[in-house]
Amino acid sequence: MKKFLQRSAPWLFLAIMLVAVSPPVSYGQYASAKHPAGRALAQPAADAPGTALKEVLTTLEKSYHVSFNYDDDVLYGVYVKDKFNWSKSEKLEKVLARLLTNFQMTFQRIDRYNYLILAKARANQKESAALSVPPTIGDGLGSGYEPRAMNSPASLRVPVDLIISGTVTADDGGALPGVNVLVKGTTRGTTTDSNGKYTLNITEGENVLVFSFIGYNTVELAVENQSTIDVVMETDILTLNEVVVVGYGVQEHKDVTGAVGSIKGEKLVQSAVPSVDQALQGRMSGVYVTSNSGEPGGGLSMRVRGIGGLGVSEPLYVIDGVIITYSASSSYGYRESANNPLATLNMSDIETISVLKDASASAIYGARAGNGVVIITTKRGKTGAPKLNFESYVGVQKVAKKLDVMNASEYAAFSNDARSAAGLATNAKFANPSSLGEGTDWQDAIFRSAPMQNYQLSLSGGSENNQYYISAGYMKQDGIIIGSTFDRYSLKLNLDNKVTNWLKIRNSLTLSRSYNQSLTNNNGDRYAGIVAQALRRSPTLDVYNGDGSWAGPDASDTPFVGLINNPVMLATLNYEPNERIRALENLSAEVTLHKTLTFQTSLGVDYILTNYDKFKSTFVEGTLSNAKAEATSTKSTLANLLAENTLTYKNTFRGQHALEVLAGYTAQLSTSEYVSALSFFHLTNELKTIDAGQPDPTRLASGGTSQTSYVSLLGRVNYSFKDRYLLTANIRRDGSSVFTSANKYAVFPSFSAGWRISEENFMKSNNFIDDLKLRASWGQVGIDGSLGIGTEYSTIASGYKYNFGHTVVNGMMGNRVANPSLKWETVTQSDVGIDVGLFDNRLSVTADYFVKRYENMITKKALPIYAGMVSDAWYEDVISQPINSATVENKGLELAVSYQNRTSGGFAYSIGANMTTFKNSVIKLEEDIIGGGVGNTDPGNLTRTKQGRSIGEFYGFVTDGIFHTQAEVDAANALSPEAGVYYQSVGTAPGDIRYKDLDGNNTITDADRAYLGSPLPDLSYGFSGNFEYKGFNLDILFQGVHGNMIMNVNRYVLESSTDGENKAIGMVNRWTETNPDSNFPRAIATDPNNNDRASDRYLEDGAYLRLKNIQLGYTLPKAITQKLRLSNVKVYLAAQNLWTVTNYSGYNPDIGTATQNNTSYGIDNTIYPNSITFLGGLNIGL
Amino acid sequence: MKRIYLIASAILLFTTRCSDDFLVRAPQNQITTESFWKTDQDAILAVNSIYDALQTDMGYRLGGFMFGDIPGDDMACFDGEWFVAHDNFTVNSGNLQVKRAWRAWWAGVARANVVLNRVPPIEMDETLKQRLLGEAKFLRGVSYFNIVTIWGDAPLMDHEMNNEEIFAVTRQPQAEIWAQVEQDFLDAEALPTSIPGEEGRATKGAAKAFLSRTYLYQGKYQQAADKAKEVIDMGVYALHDEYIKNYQTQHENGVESVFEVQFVAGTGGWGNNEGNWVPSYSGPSGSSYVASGAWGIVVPSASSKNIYEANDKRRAVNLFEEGSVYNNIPYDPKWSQTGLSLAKYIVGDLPVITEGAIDAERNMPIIRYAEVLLIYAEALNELNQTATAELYLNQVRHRAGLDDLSGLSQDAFRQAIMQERRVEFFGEGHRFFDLRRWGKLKEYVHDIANKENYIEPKNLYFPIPQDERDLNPGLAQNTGY
Repeated sequence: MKKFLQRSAPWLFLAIMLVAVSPPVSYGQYASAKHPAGRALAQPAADAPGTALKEVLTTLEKSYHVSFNYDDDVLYGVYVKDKFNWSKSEKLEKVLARLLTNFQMTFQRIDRYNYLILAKARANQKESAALSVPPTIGDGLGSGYEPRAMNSPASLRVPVDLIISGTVTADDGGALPGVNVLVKGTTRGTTTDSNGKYTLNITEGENVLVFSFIGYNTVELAVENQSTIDVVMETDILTLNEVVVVGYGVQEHKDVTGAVGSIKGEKLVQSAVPSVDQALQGRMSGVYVTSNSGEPGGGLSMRVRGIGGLGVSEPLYVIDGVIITYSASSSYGYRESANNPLATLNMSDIETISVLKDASASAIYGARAGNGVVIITTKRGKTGAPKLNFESYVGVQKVAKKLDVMNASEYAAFSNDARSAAGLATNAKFANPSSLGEGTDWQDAIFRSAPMQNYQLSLSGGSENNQYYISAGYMKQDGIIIGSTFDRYSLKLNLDNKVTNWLKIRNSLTLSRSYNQSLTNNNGDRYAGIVAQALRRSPTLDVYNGDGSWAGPDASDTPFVGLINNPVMLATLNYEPNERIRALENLSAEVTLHKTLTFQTSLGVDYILTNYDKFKSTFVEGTLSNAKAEATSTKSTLANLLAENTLTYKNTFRGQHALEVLAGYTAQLSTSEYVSALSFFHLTNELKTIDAGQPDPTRLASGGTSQTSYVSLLGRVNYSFKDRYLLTANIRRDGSSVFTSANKYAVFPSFSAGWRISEENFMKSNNFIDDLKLRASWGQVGIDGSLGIGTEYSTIASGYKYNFGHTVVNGMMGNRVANPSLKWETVTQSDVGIDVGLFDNRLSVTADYFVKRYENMITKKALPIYAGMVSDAWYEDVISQPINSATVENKGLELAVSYQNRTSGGFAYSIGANMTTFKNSVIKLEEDIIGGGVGNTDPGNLTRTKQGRSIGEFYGFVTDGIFHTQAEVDAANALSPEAGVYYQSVGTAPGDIRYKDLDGNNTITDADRAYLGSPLPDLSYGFSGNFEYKGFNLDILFQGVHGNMIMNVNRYVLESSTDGENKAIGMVNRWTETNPDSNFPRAIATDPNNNDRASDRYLEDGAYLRLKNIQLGYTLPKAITQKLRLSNVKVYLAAQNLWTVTNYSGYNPDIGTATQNNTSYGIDNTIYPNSITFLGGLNIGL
Repeated sequence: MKRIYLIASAILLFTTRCSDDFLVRAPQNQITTESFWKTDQDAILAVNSIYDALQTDMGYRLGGFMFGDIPGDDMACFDGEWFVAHDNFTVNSGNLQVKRAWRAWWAGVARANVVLNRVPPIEMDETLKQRLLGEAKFLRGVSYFNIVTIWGDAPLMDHEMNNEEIFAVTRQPQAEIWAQVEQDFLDAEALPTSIPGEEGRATKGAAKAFLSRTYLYQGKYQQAADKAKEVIDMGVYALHDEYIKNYQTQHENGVESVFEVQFVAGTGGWGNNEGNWVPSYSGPSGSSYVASGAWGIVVPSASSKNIYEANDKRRAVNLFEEGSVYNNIPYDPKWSQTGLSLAKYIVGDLPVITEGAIDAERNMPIIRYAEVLLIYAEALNELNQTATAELYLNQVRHRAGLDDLSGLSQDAFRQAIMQERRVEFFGEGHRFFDLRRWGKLKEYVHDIANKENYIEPKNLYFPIPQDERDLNPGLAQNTGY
């Protein structure tokens, strides 16, 4: 192409003139262009009738709010003969092309605000400078040209005294080509070559070199008789975030009309956390991240723009172009949801994360984009010398908070009270409570200081045509509870090869092996959850017996201390390793069919092998024991194949109409399989394999396979007129195996428009608004994942057995009602947004208002029993049919503000804040959804989702203090005129909780339950600051939520009236006859008043503000680094979760949904607590 | 040139569509309706599943107690989770156990309908096909028999229905249901007399006997007598020489058995299994008579020890009472609130100890030859053939060690039949329905047994579960609920 251009330059000029010249320009004016430009010699400056080119450029700089960087040598003595005219409606690139072409110069666009002006000879030599628009000739014909390309040796017409040479590298260690090296005070200099090397001759007295390059801070260095001067240049923070990754491509930020949040990987690694989603918390508006467990490798929930589905609603993840699928209904669902699939990704390899928030941005992903799309791209090599980077940190974590519970003597006293009140015998051992002292602090016994460490080695670089990025990483994090750990090995290989000038091959490969030894927290189950048991186990019991064996209750203890197992024993015996081996690969080829037309084909593979084992040991601790060893071993695989073909057409017409059209065709097939085996009665606890269990008939096996497939057509049109009026339309037609032939295909359209007001003439005169863009979008996307596999099929189940002639025979019959007309859930979203850049773009503001409506949501319509369908062998389950019925709406506001600056004193800083607020309302729901089940902890289901309210509101009784006196109890009972009807219960006595009689019938029944509050925050926010000064940097991130409630399930047990489990310290001050004013209920073993029913007593304000991350770093001065023959050395100290402000009394107010289910948000069922982490890090660049 | 190929292949890639098959991913762990119903094996498996409905707790395991015995005068329940409401007539439309029974019998109807719809097109041995269709009709008849006796009017669902039809049904008058039951049993008469090796399947005799009972319940005495006589004349059935043999595993599916629900032990602990939990439900609570310890959910009422004539051998089979000894362990009246326990599902065999200790082997008798004889006798008496009727009544009395009756008036014979059925079928789910068809419920239940809550017509039938009426408001509720 290039050769063609060169050969045919004159013809091309003509052709382009005919096509591209704007109407006001008269033909006659450019007739003179027939003189080959640049042939004329420059006029001497003195009698030059025109304006210096430099001056013209300065005017353009002001006008277009850009800056030009050039070697003064190049512009020296160059004059524009006539007045150079341009109109601000003209695209800058065109103006420049018009202007410069006459001087045998060209320009390179470095980023949005910076341009490099180059002599053409150099540009050709480098071969990398490409004109982004064809050169045209305008009315301002250039006349002067001085052939003094700055890196031409001929240009150095000075006596040589000293030859200085060296290498210029970037702060990330890579060689930096094209850096201007100038002798200060002169116009002489050179530029670095493709390896970042330069050579320069200087004369006596010229002592200072100035190194400058777009996007980097200028460096001045004294020569001081050195002959080698190597320089490391630092990135200028003002030039970040230029290009935004969107679905199937990238877009310049200025052209984006949808709502897309984007963050660089380098920001994320400031939080030394194992997983991507953890690092996103508080960083982006519209993205609500909550932790479901503090366990290493534990799960998180991410919700984009509110809460949608009535079940799981994680966003769609696209990693290096591969659409990730996870089977929503796994047969070992709890494990799957608790473990985080993103934990397999190495944070240090991530280049950017984009979150497609509105329908305009996400519609290109169609049927699966309803919950938002998260696009993750990984780092790639860049042309230049090899860069070897080593990053590491080591740290220690400790539990962020302990709960204050009773000690042994306090608990014994409580037990005595509770049992006496109920007329039950007390424990002889508790006869003198104060003699029991402190006893065991079970929290201390299970929590520990746990180390974590991370190492990453990467090598990147490449030639003009081949670039590579290779990395190896290792991360290990022990849990703050004994027995839990997480580690990960990862390898990354990204290759970009330009095979010919029309074919590029791109390879992205990630291999990883992650392993976690998980402590089954069984959702806080009081009998299996490790934290629950540490809180509830009696402090009067020991950890070990004198002989080192596990201590437990003896026969006399058992009635008084319950059946809570020794948590230290459980954690120590715990064996639940979960290993994931993953290969994620995307191989693509890009074919340039024409300069405007590109074809890309890719094949993506995501293969995950999971080995999950679990062993329940036998044990004896006092009278508690388990005699039945049990092993399960599950192997599961997920094979996800994705083939995509896209065709992109990109062109500009008449210099004003920019058009980009994308069309694509994709197919995807995901197969997940598992085999699980179970065995019992192992000979010893050491032999944990299935084979070591008793053979037949107690060995059991199960397994299954499921598949989903997609075939999709997609298209997008981006059009901009004069760079001011932007239009985007997306469409995707998805076909999915999830739905029946009637609704197999669905079409998801979206439209958006942007108006860059700042480009309008009337805005040009102001000098503080650099960028002002209004955006609006509307679109529809879908959700299909809430269904599970094969919902369209009515299935036949076996197991309906019977016996004939004493022989068991199987029976088979339909067990599921299909819905042949079932279709996708549709999410319709409207968004209006504004992007503002002020004060040289130092201050930027992005705000969006959105309305996101989920319609045709799939709910279960109960079928009458007389229809005769039975789904289970017990004939108990309710039979339902999936139907499209419910509607949920989220309306919200997002705001992100950032300010960045660098003072002349070298102090650079950026501060940013983001906030999101949304209101969730269930517009239509036929049947209330009861949710928030908390297993075998007393209160049962805690939430209820009802039409007209928001999803998953807490539901229960409303407390009204406690009865302080018998008179109060009597008065309440007297309210009812009916004999034998009590206000609450026949056994209600002073010290019991009083509930409000909401229905006014003078007795407390289920009808007195009410909606108590929502777990969804009114506001979630984050703010961050980055400060740099003379090698020091300080990064901080605060994050928090406001206006949400948390149900503190721990307190149902810790503050209940019943004995058998340890109590919160507050219960020391419980109601007694001598302490009648207490607000803590009395102790009574039988709890006749049912004080631990689901009520607002245990509901707490969930607001918090947390110093999520703080890092103080120091980058060694170049002088020292160079001596060490390194390009970059940085050391830092960091802390996470260092400081939290909250009124919440549990371990951690950052409560998501342990089951990933939207109807179970905000329930603190004794999850694995979070930790405070301190760490030190070292980054070295070679 | 190469580029032209590339462009061409690119265009090809774009225009090539996967076939629609690519988007068809049937569940691989389960058989779909589309892939089932192809072979004789599918037909057999489907028919087996209809039988499974009979086996459910509130089908024929405990359903007989719940509706046939406890609301009557001879059996009681003190366990609130189970049948107290049926005992004292506080049962309402929210009752879980009623709903579970409703589920069992409608599963039977629906499964039979599916079989009757989908088996005929299967290419298979015609004899086997006809037999399986006959079994399905028999089982639909049994299911509807229970539905109409428990709830009265009912939706008539005589074919596999789609959702629209299901939501549109209303309750049809009893007569229509009875007609359907009669037709199904008539059709099922084509079944073979026995299916060796597969005891427990519906047979010609079972169809005829059930049909005879169906006629009797409707007061169609002539037809009831005719049909009972046909069973008698088959020559297949006889009375066991001892009453207890009806409840002994070694004699199950024996000569007296016309139809019984099949169980086997040892199929897996507390989970869903093929064992009969009735010994645990009915056994003396806390005793070691049953390996599980038993829960005494169903107990004979205190008065029921007074219903026996002297020397009636059946008393020892039916009742554990003071002085009873089982497995060398004397009965302790404290094991039951009434001092009595139902013995017949325990006493025949020694305790079965399997994992979980609850899945007993014993079958549940549904129709015994003794009932055929008594139906015949009762019908003949109503047809004014009392003398002949006595012959058949006396066969049953004789086996119980009682003297023959003779020369009774028609009315006295009615009394004798009532007494005989009460004792012979004690704890077998007949009493309440017998009293109802004799018009004696108020007398025995309200007046004699002192169940004050009993009112008519409300308590003649049981309530339709409210949840069902919420889903289909077209379902009327029974009077009084």
